[in-house]
Amino acid sequence: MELLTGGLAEAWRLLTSLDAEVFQVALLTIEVSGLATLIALAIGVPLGTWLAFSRFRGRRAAVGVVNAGMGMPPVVVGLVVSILLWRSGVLGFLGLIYTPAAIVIGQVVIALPVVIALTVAAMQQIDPALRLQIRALGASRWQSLLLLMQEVRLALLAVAMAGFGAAISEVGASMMVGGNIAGHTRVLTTATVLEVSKGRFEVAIALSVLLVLIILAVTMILTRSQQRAFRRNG
Amino acid sequence: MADHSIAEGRDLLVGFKGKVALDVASIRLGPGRVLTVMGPNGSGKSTLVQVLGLLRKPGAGSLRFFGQDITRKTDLKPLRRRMGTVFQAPLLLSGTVLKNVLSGMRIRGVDRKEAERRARDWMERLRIDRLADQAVHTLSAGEAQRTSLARAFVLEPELLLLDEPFSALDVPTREQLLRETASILRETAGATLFVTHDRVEALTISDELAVLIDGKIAQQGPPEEVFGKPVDARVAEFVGVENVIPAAVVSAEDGVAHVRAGRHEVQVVDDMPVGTQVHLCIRPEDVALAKSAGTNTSVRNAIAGAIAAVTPHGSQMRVEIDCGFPLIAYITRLSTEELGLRPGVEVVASFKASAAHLIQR
Repeated sequence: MELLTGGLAEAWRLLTSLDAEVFQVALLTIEVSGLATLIALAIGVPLGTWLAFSRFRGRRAAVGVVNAGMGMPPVVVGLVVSILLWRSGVLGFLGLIYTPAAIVIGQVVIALPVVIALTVAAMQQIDPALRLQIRALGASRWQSLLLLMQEVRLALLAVAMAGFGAAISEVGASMMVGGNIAGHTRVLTTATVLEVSKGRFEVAIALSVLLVLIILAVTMILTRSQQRAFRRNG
Repeated sequence: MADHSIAEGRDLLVGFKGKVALDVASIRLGPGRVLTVMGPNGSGKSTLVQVLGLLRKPGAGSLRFFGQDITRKTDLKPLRRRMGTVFQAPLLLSGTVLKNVLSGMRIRGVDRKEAERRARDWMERLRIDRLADQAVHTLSAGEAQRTSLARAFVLEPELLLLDEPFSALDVPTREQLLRETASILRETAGATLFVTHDRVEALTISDELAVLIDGKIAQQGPPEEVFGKPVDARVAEFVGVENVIPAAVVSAEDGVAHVRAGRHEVQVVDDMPVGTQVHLCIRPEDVALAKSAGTNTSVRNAIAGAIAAVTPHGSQMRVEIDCGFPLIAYITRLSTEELGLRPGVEVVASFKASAAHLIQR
């Protein structure tokens, strides 16, 4: 109990004293996970929409694989991305290993199945006749996608929240592909692991509180716009 | 094929789950004309709308739109942008009424100011202007379908496809919207395909009527002709001729055929040759009932029988008389009461020779 209260007090001190190192780590965390979520949404929503409405042999199996991907262990993702980005790996020439970009790649791979699978589920709720009506209005593929996204925007905000949650909360991949280098690739989750390994629980608790606060803040912003849209349009 | 048609289909064939869903030899939609397609559920009406709306590719056949053969055309979007479609359900996008009325024009790249002006005009015409900023999920069924119609009319389509747009509405709303739509269509220069299974709707709106049965056009012509002289028993039954009785022409004189149906002989204004096996068609509203045969009447046919059943039929009563074959008559409730019409009562059913119609079997 003493450890927890001490940790919370330390968290308060770090937050209120605007500790430069902590804020640098928090900022990198937001940047990396925010960017990873945006990339996952940009790829995953069109892909999920296509998967929801297209008809091809093996579509069900593909949806099954995507659903299974939601449970992909981050360490496995980290291992695969590390092998690919390793200096002698297939993508080694890019020189991305142990960079924030490598963490973004790892988090995109983790968030992508979540975004695709939940987009498939959201899009399949749309009345097929409405899709026919949109085509009858003369919509192009992209116009159809945008209109359908508007129809399920409440669900897509939930998809964004789930994607961001999956990206920001993983630690294994970030540790493996980022290397947890201070001032360069250290994010809140990897920093927390490091502080626990050093026995500095107060700092670890402070970092965890900060992580939870970031997740809460982002989720609250998205929830607010989701509920406002619900009140406006039902 | 004629060049002045807006849309034409030839030998259109659509299969679904190993069955033929649509098999139309020829269909043509001309400018300023309304072609109504009637047919029972599952007859292929909606499939036809989808094929002519270029929303479904037929398995075989050729399509010609706006003067060009588009059978092998792959990018159909520019053609769809010259059409408007209203389905049975309003199928509105979430948001406001105005957003929906504007949606088709936004998709088609109509200038924002011009789109807004046209949307306001059509919302006023369809009396939904006061609902412009209202969210569509708060609309009544009638208001929602008005919005859907406004969304289609505002596009000023060269080809308008209306797939049972009034069937989900209550009777007063349907009648009002039907009158308004008929008036709009009279001023429309484009072609209209109107799908319904309601006879009143068909008679109110159509220039030409086609009856679709089992995916095929069983009969096509002016509505009065299709209703008055159905070509076969299936069409007759569908267009509401409840009395379709197997019979044979036994003699003919002065354009009047004498037809034997069961133990009765009736006279029909028709020049069908003697010996022809026919279906005798009589509309229930053309059959009058009396307790005894009248004298001094011009009505040529009077058949005695016993009432088998009396059931309500809207504002009237449906009386089934056993004359050796079942004969249906629609009688007012007042007459039913005054004549004491109930099962078992002996009556005489009469109808004019010109009210009956013969179809060769």
